[in-house]
Amino acid sequence: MASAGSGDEKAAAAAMITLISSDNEKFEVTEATATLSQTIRHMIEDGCTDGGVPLPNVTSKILARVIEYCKKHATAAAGEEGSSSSFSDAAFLEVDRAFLEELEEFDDAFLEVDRATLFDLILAANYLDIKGLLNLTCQKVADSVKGKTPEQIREMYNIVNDLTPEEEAEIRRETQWAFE
Amino acid sequence: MYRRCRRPAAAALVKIDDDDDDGPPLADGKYGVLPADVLYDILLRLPANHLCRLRLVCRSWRSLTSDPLFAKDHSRRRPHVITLSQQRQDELHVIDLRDRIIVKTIHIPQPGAYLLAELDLVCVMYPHFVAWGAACVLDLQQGTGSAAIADITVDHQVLRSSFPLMVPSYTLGHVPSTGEHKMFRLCDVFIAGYQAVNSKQQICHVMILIASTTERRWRVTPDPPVVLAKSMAVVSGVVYFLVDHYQYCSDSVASFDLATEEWRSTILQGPVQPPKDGLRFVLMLIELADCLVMVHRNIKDSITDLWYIEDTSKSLWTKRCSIRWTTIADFQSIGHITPLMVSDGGRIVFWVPEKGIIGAYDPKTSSWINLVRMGDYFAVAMHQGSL
Repeated sequence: MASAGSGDEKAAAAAMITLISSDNEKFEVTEATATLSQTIRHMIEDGCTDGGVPLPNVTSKILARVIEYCKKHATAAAGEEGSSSSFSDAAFLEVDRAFLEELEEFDDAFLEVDRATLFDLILAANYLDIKGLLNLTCQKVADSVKGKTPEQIREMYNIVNDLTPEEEAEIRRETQWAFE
Repeated sequence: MYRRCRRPAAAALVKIDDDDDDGPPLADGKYGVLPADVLYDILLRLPANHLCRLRLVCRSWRSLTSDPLFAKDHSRRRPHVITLSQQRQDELHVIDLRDRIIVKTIHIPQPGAYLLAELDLVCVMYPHFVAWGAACVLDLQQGTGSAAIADITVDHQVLRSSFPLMVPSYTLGHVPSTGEHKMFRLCDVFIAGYQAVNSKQQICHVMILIASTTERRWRVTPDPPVVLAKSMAVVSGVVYFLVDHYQYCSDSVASFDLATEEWRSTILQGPVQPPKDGLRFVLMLIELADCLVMVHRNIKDSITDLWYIEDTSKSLWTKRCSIRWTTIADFQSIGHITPLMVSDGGRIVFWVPEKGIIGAYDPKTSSWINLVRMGDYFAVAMHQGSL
């Protein structure tokens, strides 16, 4: 059993949620971390999380990474709430900015994965409805597609070209301007 | 257990496995398949010229990126403008505002002064020293060469020889029920130097624009029910006009149905009471997010109010946005600040010709952000057609 519980002392007393991966590993996370997922948030609101939340679509390898993302960003979300309720002086804003930069670095490092893992992360983010993670991973795929030729993309993503030569010629005519 | 939850979480869980039949796959085999909505989201992030090249990947990518709904979402997320510049007077540029790149260049027959756009059609109006009151219509889908589908120069000369006319106003509209594109022209008949004071002194024409042929014919419409001001907006195949009360502006709105080519019998009452002197007070009609919007500019106090029509049968308007320019931006004059579009985040994108800036106002935070400096581009219209 791999425990990915929160290291935060204060949060230890807070409600914990158990997430169960497809290969039956259990992950204990704080509610603040878990509720970055809208899907889990709704389950908690409906009181459907007793005995753990089975996630039959997500492997333990991917779930561990998703939780890593959520823990980091849950801290960020808590920071944002804090800043709105306290007097935001210049020093506070400075700290905030440093934290945001740190978060950006975290995100960049987080995306250093192979294509298969990236796809699995997208599927997990989509299913768990984690907006930030879905946005991050989709942008990564979009960036990887940008500037590539159709042939390169087909090869990268195993797509079969089902266009007839006539259709290809037609598309080239229609979108001639895009190739100039 | 969560399976009993009323939320659709469990259904979403199964959906990923089942989805590969109804959506275009980004990949298959060892990487698994991305759901259609995720692929849609990914492709929306790409600039138009990249997307058009990607039509060659496979059939499903082609049909997804050619879909008009996709084009609409794409233009909200990644706004494109059609522009005229001082430097290249024989060209029209389509610019991606996010990446600040020219994605398309189209040759125009003569240097233009103003622009109008409706889906893929652009009307370029010539300045009076080039061709008085004339214009041409271009089809952005026709490629980069000869995209002109209607040259209004000749028509206008014929018209002008039979009537003494003031400079005409044009608008382009799309008739959703038939898919036709029509052009509308409003002319004041010139009477000893005065503007029209009754509707008999205005002539309106309408014409169907057909992309594949240059054949065209202006038809005279029935007489307008009231005197029309030259602020026109087209929403869902209906042209709306501000009513022109002699010497002072009015907030009443007349309308013409492009499908039936008839005037509508009701005159809509506007939401603002214009002062009798009409000084430093400007009203304008525009289309924003498929809704008729009356723009009320109080030049004295530097305030712009946007009134959206909620119910045309009851003349019901709502002020959804009120901008006090003095508090948010250093604008000396708000005279020509024009709303262009509403972005996917709800921000209203404006063109500020005096400063050559496109910027956005966020009604939620009452804040302004400069998006793009347009340099020597002097005419800007939103591009909401296909990619």
